[in-house]
Amino acid sequence: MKEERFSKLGFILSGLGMAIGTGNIWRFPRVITQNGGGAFIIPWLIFLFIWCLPLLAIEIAIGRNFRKGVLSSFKEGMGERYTWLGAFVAWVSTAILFYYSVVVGWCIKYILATIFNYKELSNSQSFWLSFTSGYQPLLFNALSLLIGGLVIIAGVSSGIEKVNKILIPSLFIILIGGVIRSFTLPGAIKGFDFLFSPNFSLLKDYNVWLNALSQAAWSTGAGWGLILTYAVYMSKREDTIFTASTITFGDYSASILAGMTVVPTLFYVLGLNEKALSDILKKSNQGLTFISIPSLFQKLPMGQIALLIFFVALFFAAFTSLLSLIELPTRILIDAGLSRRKAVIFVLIVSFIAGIPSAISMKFFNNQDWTWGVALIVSGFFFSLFVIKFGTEKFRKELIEKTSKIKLGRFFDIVVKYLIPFQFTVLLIWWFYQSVKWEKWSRVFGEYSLLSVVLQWLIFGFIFFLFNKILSEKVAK
Amino acid sequence: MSKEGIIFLIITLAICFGGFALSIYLSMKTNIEEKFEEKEGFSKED
Repeated sequence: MKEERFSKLGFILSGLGMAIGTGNIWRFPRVITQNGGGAFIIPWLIFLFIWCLPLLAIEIAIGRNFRKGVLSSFKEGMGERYTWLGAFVAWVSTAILFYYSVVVGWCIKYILATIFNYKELSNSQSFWLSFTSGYQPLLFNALSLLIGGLVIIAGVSSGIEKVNKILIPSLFIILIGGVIRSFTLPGAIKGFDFLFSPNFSLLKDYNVWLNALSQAAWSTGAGWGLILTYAVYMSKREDTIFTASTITFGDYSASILAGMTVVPTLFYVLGLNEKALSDILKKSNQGLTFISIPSLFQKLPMGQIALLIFFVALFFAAFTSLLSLIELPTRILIDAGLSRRKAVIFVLIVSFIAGIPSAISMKFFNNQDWTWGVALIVSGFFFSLFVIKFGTEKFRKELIEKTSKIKLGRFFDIVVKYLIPFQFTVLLIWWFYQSVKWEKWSRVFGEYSLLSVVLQWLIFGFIFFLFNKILSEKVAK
Repeated sequence: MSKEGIIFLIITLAICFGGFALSIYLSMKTNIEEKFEEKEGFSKED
C-alpha cells in the first residue's frame, strides 16, 4: 500500500505538534522563573542555534533522503554494524511513549474533572493522590492510546495532518488569549517584570546555562527521531533548513507564550509573593500542574473556565506529541513489512502493557521519566555520530544544502563535530552529578539513582548491540 | 515594569516570533527542485 505525504503546511504543523508538548506548558514557566527570568533566555536562545536547529535539520535531512524509519535510516546511513544505535534512539522515544500516554490520560481526566467535579478540585492535593493511587489512570491511559491510535491508523494526511491542522492553531489561539488575560490581571505586570528583567550576573552561574540547554533539548524534540519519522512523508519541495527553523522558533514562541500566561497569573493569585512563587516552583512538573494550578486557578475570576482552558491547551500540546511518539515505532514496523493497521495495533497493545507500571506507580513513572529523559541527550549525540560517520561535509552538501536555499558552510561541520559532542558530555556529567545529590547513587531500584539510569541504558544498549545482525536483517529491511 | 524588562521583552518576542513568522513565510514560499530518485512505496502525487 502506498503511503501518503504531508502537504507543506501539514508537515510544518505536524512538526510543531511533535515539538510543542508538556515541556513548553508545564516545564518552561517553572524553569525560567527558577533560573533568573530574562538571564535564562540568553543561553536558551544560544542553544537554539547550536543544539535544536542543527539536530532538527539533520533529522529532517535523514528522513527525507532515506524515506525510512529510524532503524533503517541508521542502517543505510551508517552501515549495518551501527543499526543498534538507531535501535537505541528508537527505543528511548518508545520508552517515553509508554509513560507519556499516561500524562495525556491525566489531562483528559482533569478536563473532565474541571467540567463535572470542579468543587472537588479545590482540595487538589487529595484529589490528585486519590486519582493516582487508584486504577483510573489505567483507563485514561487506554483512552489516550486508543484516540491516538485511531489518528495514526487513519494515515498521514487523513489522520496526523488533519488533527494537527486543527489542534496546533487552536493551541496558539488559546496561548495568545491566555497572555492577554494574564496581562489584564491586577499586579500581573509584576510577573512580566520578574519574567523578563535580566539579572546578567546570573550568567556567571553554570547551572543557568545547563538548565537552558536541558530545556532547549527536551522541549524541541531535537534528536529524538520523531521529526525524522515525519520527514519520511514530507514533500520533495520543502526546504530542509526553513522547515527546521519554523519548528524550532515555533516551539520557542509557544514556550514564551506559556511563560507569559502562567507566571503573571501565579503572581496575581499569590499576591506578588515571590517566596510563595518560589516554593510552588520547587515542586515537580506534575506537582505544579495537577496540584498547585487547580487550587490557585480557583482564586481567579471565572476560574473554572480558566482552568478548563489551561488543561485543554495542555491536552492539545501533549496529544499532538503523543501522535509522533506512536508513529515512530509504527514506521519501524511498516519498514519491517507490517501493514499500518497491524503495526499500530501492535504498538498500542505493547504501549498499554508497558505503561501499566507508570500508570499505577508515581515512583516508577518518575524513574522512567528521569531515565529516558536524560537518554534523549544520548540520542542527540548519536545523530551527530551518524553525520560524522556519513561524512560531515558530504552530509551537509548532499543531504542538507541540496534540499535548501541556505548554505550552512563550515559552521555546521563545527557544530556537529565539536559542539554537539561537547554539550552532550557536559550535560550528561552535570545531570549525573545532580542525581547523586538527590539520591544515593547505588540504589538499583531508586527513583532517580545513577545506577538505575545507567543499568537500564546498558541493558537495552547491550541487547540491541547483541542482536544487531537480527535487527539489521529482519527489522531494518 | 522596568525599562530593562520592557527592552528585553521586546527583543525576546522579536527573535522568537520574528524568527517563527519569517521561517513560515520562507518555508511556504520556497520550492526545492529536488533531483533524487522516487523511493518505493510512496505516492507520486507531489
